[in-house]
Amino acid sequence: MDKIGVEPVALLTQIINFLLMVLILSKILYKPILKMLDERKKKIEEGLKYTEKMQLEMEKLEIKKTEVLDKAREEVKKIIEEGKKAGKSVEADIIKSAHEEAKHIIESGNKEIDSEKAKMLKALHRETVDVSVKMAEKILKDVLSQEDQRSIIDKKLKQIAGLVK
Amino acid sequence: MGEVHISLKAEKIFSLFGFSITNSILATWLVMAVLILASFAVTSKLSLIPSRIQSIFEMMIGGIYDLFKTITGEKIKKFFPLVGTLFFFIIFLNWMGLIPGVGTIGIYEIVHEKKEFIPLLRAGSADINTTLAFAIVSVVLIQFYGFTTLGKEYLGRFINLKNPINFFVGILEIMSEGTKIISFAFRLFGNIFAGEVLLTVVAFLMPLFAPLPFLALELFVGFIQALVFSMLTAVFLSVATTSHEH
Repeated sequence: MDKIGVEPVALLTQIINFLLMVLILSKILYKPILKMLDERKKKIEEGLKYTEKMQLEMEKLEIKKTEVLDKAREEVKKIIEEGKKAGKSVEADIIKSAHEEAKHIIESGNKEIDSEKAKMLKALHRETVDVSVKMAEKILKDVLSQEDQRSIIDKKLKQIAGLVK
Repeated sequence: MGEVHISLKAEKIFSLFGFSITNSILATWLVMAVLILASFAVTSKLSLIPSRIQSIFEMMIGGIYDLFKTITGEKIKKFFPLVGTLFFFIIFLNWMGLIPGVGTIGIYEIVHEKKEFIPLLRAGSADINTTLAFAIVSVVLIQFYGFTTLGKEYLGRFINLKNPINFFVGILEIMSEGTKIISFAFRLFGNIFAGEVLLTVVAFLMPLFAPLPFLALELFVGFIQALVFSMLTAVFLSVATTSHEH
């Protein structure tokens, strides 16, 4: 053993060296680095899990979104239809009232025309009588005596009045 | 430079408190200092988003950790300080011998009235004391873990009085634990020392270019030997702590 160089002191020194290295390295090298590796692994796992969760949530949200949109579309359709219906009924009402009004206006117009016509006829009647009297007076003044004139005028007047009536 | 300097033993450099310090112990301390300082530098500012150097350290340690995990399973948490240190310590001790100047820079001393060259540094694992120390620690810790995990069952593997065959097998087991130390120590020492000799001889015969492929080879051998030492320890640990009784 001596020829190959085994020496108790050197052997012991190296044993102590090695044991020291085991203690020191495990304390300042392996432990922190393995801990860091584990921590990073955990962080990555958490991150992946979170991403997956978010993806699921997003899918859910997408479904909800389409649902809400569908609902909104239906509602809008309904509202438009209702509006259309309401518009139609209003339209009918307006048309009806317009018809009525028109009828009313026409009627009142007719009445006015009638009364006017009657007035005008009356006025015409009077005027005609007046003109006839004056014409007769002028013509008869020259031709007939006063007596004759009067009788004839009276007669004619009576005639005209009857005619006019 | 007229002759090749090859010494099987590590040479004594100086004395400290009456203990002689050899060049391989000096190299071991150097490797320890480098490893500890590097570890401090990296782990003092660890962050979740790693720097480049932190990534390298994480890759090395995480890779070795996962490799040993395939051997020992979940028990790696308990065993990693031992097998991990075996791997990293041995690989740097092996590679230390490849650094230019290690084994070539030294002093001349007069021993037995003869001028003798004494290198200042020597690859730590090219000294039987170093490899024997690792082997002893490794095998002792294997027994320790085996006994603390399995208790009486582990003891029963060596001392079994139930029947003569098992008794004889127990004796063989005891012997095999002893040979583990020998094989661990001499495998590592033999490989690294042989590498040193090979490099010295090649460099002596043809100093330019010729040592390059051998240097590459020794880099590989240094890695493989560190892996073999730590992997075998992991396998033995796994065997020692796994119950065979059912």
